[in-house]
Order: sequence, then structure tokens, then C-alpha cells
Amino acid sequence: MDLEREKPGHPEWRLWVIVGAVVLCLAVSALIGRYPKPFLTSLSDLSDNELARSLLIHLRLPRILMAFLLGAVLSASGAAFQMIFRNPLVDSGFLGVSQGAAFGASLGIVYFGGTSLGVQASAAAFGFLGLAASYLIARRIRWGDWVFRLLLAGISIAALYSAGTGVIKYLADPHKELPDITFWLLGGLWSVTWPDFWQVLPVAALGLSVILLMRWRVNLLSMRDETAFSLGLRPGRERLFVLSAAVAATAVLVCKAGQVTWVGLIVPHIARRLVGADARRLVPASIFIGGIFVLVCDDLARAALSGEIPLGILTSLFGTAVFIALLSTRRLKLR
Amino acid sequence: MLYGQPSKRRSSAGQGRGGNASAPRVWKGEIEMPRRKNPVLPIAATVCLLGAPSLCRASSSPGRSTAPIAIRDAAGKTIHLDKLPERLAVVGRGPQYILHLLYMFPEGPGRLVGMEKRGRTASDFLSAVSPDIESKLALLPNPGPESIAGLHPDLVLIKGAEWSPQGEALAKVRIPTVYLSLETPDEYQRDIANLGAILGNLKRAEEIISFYQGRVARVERAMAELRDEEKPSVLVVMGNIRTGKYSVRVPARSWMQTYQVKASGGRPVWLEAAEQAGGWAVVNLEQIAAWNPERLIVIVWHSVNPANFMDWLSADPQWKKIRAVADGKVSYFPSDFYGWDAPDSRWILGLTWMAATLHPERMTNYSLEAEVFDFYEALYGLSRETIRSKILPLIKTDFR
Repeated sequence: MDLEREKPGHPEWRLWVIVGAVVLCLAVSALIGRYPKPFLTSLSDLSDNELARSLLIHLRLPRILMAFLLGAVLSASGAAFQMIFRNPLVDSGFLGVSQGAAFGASLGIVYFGGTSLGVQASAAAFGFLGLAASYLIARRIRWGDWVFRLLLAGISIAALYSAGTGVIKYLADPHKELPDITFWLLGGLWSVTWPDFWQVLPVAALGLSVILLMRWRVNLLSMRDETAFSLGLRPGRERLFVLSAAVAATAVLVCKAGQVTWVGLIVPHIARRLVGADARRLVPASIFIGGIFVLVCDDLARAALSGEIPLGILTSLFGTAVFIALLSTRRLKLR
Repeated sequence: MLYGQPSKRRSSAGQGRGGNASAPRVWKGEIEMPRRKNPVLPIAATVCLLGAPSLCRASSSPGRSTAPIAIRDAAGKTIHLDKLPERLAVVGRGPQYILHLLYMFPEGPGRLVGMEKRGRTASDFLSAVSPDIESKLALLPNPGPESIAGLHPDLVLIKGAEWSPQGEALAKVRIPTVYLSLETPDEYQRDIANLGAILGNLKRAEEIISFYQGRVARVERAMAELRDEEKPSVLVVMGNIRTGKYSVRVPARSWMQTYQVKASGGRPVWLEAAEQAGGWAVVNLEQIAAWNPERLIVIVWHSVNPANFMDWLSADPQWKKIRAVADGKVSYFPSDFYGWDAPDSRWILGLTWMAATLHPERMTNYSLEAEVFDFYEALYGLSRETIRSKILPLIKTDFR
């Protein structure tokens, strides 16, 4: 029997505490809203008030689950990216996916009629195009190792997309189109219903499963190519597989939620502090903490004021605060 | 002459149906005196008395402003013009709103040399009814000072209420600018008066102001005796692509839609949410359920068929639980080329429509079609045939 693992300070024990926090957060979030009165919905309200029950089932629950899923995917992807790229300052938006989705959404709003489906489809298409372009450009670079080449290509594509989004914003009608682009870029889950959740769940769950199942290999993929190869891996192919899964899951969620920043960057660092840098515990911890982080932010976004606060503003606000706190207390590290 | 000062008293032409030219009128709480023979003199006298006397250097013939003039604009700055501008350019966010005002004056089209174009056309409305606008130079969005200077304007009209980088850059090359805000009825009144001074046609400015005043006064008279308990709680929302099915946008407190609801005898319920954003604020269905408004007025997104949207809204199981939807008290804002809720010249059509929608018993002589004819005839000089063929077919409304 491993007595060490049963001690309260052991990373595995902490992981179980985090799981408990997830359950608590999900339960409390279900009772937070604006109806019948601001902030907390009592159980008696739910039993007596049919409208309150209906709002909980049809609107609050899918949004809560989507918020958790969004946080989980962004954080797990961020953890995988940081390890594979051996860089503590990258996340899943690094290969031009988020910027591509933003460009696609802006394009959809201004030039493709602005229908909900059109905007999401355009965001998804350009998000994946960003990944494909990063990959193809990385292959054409003739120097540096694979990780470095992909990093350079990702930066270029992201910058290109950002410039494109800037041009579209510049040309957009300030009364009809620009507010929509701005809302999209600020991120938010106010449009989420059950069909939205079911639409993203398969790809998101698949992406998360790949990262989870391959988490022990991510430890090895964070090493140099020669080392990983000597340990029996095919580093180029496996890295691409993990990154593709992470990016695909991120892309489908970004299409629904808009740009929700800082989650993929900051949550893996928090998880690393709590359970260590071993991907076997880091990835699940990132999933749970990321879910909690976005869930709490979204609870505030939908219930703190009578109008919605854009989710991206809150994640940026809390994300940067945590980041500064982490920077000032200890060095960021990967292993 | 210093134009653009808030005047305490304005004359009214009383052109609207139900208007009484001899009765005192009320404009935003100010008592208005009966119409006089020369409608310009009271304005000239009042602004001279209220404004900076040192700036009242010009003597104006009736109905005409002569140079030099001084104008206090929406940005609060005073612009001195030694001669009336002959070449005008229009730029800024929503240049069509200024263009629609400019084309109410007979001098406007002739003096316009170019404008910023934000959409496919500078104004879909003017392109349809006044093809001469196509001959004007159209600048791409956010034109730089060199592009604007290339039009050789004597004066640049900018949509906005704050100094913009465009205006500052133009000031450096000594091209004067005048800001027009056009966001509230009061600002409309001031901006119309300024435009009249710039174009040298105070008489026309007064006619336009009187047109608006007449209709506002009619609505205010109709709602004068309304008790608070008779005012329905009203929610104005914009159904939009990004906000989704169960969250919508509500307008800002200072915007035209809020004024329209208040002036039409409604109680806007969304003002708390409107406080937190300078523009549109997103609210979700939970919050709407908490407000549970008696009337719901929807601004339907321009690319969406309003009838389809309303059918969906009325049938949706979640929306049906909101009182206004359950009671069938849902309407959508009418529109023709532009929505009648926007801070466009058409806001007055939106006001009278809303009053007739919220309190039909108090607006018994209201006819939407007659309002449209009056509006386009009086303000744009369109013939009834043109209105019948080019405007009426475009009107989207569920008003009966």
C-alpha cells in the first residue's frame, strides 16, 4: 500500500479535491441566475415556479455544461501545447486557430449575410484553415526542428489573420456589423442552448479523449526529437496527432463562444502548481480547473448584472490577475 | 449670429394632423409659443439673447443666414465661418444620417461634393429617390485627411458628439468641421438649426423643426393625462444573430428607442441593464422573465424576415412564457429603407407608430400610411406617386 499517496498534500489527493470542487461548482452554478430574483435561485423557487424550472432546464444547464466544456478543452489543449512546444507562454490559439476563427466570424458577419450558421461555419472553416496553413508552412521551412518551425508558422498565420480581421472591422458598417464583430471578439455563451451543446460535444469530447489518453506520451513528446525517438515514439507524427485533436476541439468551441482568452494559458500553470508537471496528472487537473475557471466567470457574466458581461472580458481580467500573482511568487516552469 | 444654442422657446408650424397652430406646444417639457408670421425671428432673437452677444455680428434677412456666422456644434466647439460654405463633405460614423438631413434642404444636394460611404451605397434611400447622389464622390470608410481634403470642401460635417482624430487632422490644415450628433430629439433640433445656418436657409430649418415638433407635440398631448398605472411596461430588444435565440440586445438609456418608449406612454424596463454599456447591452431570457414586460417591441436584424422571426418568437416554448408573448403583445419596429427606431430622420415615424401601438385609444386618428406620405412629402418633397411606388412597398410592419 502506498501510504504517501494517501497524505493530504499528495498531488493525487489534490486531484480528488479538485474533482469535489467541480461537483460543487456545477451544483452551485445551477442555482445562480437572474430569475426569479437576482443571483441565487432557491430550491423552493425551483419546485414552486414552473418558469424558473423551465429556464434552469432549457437555458441554464446547457450553458453551464458548455462553460465547463469550454474551460476543460481550452485548458487541456493549453497544457498539451505548452508541453509539446516546451514553452510556458503558448496555448491552443497559437497555431492561428483562434485568430482564424475570429477572421472567419468577422467575414461571415460582414460578407456572408450574418446568419448564425453562416458565422459559425465560416469561423470553423477559417479556424481549421489556420491549422492547415501553419502545418503546410512549417513543412516548407528548411531549418530548425519541427517544433520551432511550427511555432514560427503559427505566429505568421495568426498575425495574418489578425490583420485580416482588422481590415474587415475597418470596412464594417459601424451600426450594423461592427457591434456584432465586437461582441463576437469579446466572447460569450449567451446564445448557448441544448442543440449548441450537442453540436460541439462529439468533437470536443473526442479531442479531450485523445489528449487524456495520450497524456503519458505528452511527457515524452516534450523532450527533444532524438530522445523521444530513442524511447520508441515517432515524435513528428504523434505531436501532430495531439495538436490536431487539441485544435479541433478548440475550434468547435471558439465558433460558439467567440474569443475567450487567457484560459488555455493560465490554467495549466495553476494546475502545475497543484499537482506537478507530470502530464498524467496535469492534463486531468487542467481539465477540471479550467472547467471551474470558465464556469465561475460565466456565472458572473450572466448573473452579476442585469445585462450580460462578455465572458472574454472576465477571463482576461481574472487570467491576468492570476498570471501576475504566479509570476511574482515563483518562476513559471514546465517540468 | 451664434447658432446651435439651446433655445428655450421655438415656434411651431403645427403641420401635423391634429395640430393646433394657435395652442401652446410642448417640446421636451418646454412650453412653446403659438406660431408667428415669421418663424425665424424668434429663433434669431432667442439665440442672440441666450448666446454669446459678441458673436452676433450678422444681420440676417428673414429666413436666410448671412456670413459671417458662428455655430456651436455637437462637440461643444464654436466654429466661425466668414462666408457660407459652398462645398460640403460628410464623414464619420453613420454619414447617411447627416445626408438624410442635408437632403431635406433644397441647397443640400447642390453643395454636397462628397461623402464617406459605409455600406454598398452612401444611402440606399437617397440612391433610390435622388439619383444625383451617385454623382458625388464617395470615399471609402474612415477616410484620411488627405482624401477628405481632395474634395476641396469649405466645411466638413462629421457625425459624432466628440472630437475625432479626423476632425483634429482637418483642423491642422484649416478645413473647418462641424459635428452633428443626431442621437436624441433635442440634439436633432440643434443640429437641424446648425445645418440651416450653414446652408443659409433658416426658414427651411424652422420648417423641418416645426414638422418634428408638431408630431412630438401631438404624441405628448395624447399622453398628457396618462397615469403611471396606465403605462405598460415595455421592453425593446434587438433580435440578433450573435445573441442567439434566448438572449437579445437592449438599447442604451440615452438612445432614441428609450425616448420613443417614454414619450409614447410606456415604461421602459431595461434601463438598469442599459446603464452598464454605452451601446447595446446583451440580456438573457432569465432577466427578461424577471422583468416580464407587458409589451415586447422587437428590432429585427436587417437580414432577417421580420414576419418569420415573429412567427418563431410567438411559437417558441420559452418565449411564450413571457407575459407579452403569451398575451400576443409583441410588435416589431417598422422600417422602410432604414429602421424607424434608428437615430435617423425617420425616428419621428417610429415615435408616432409606437404611441399608436402602445395606446391606440389615444391615437385614434393615426394612420401609418398617412404619416409616411406626410413625412416624405414635407421633408423630402417627394411626390405621392414616388412615395407610393418607391417607399410604401418597402415598409415592413405588423401594424394594423
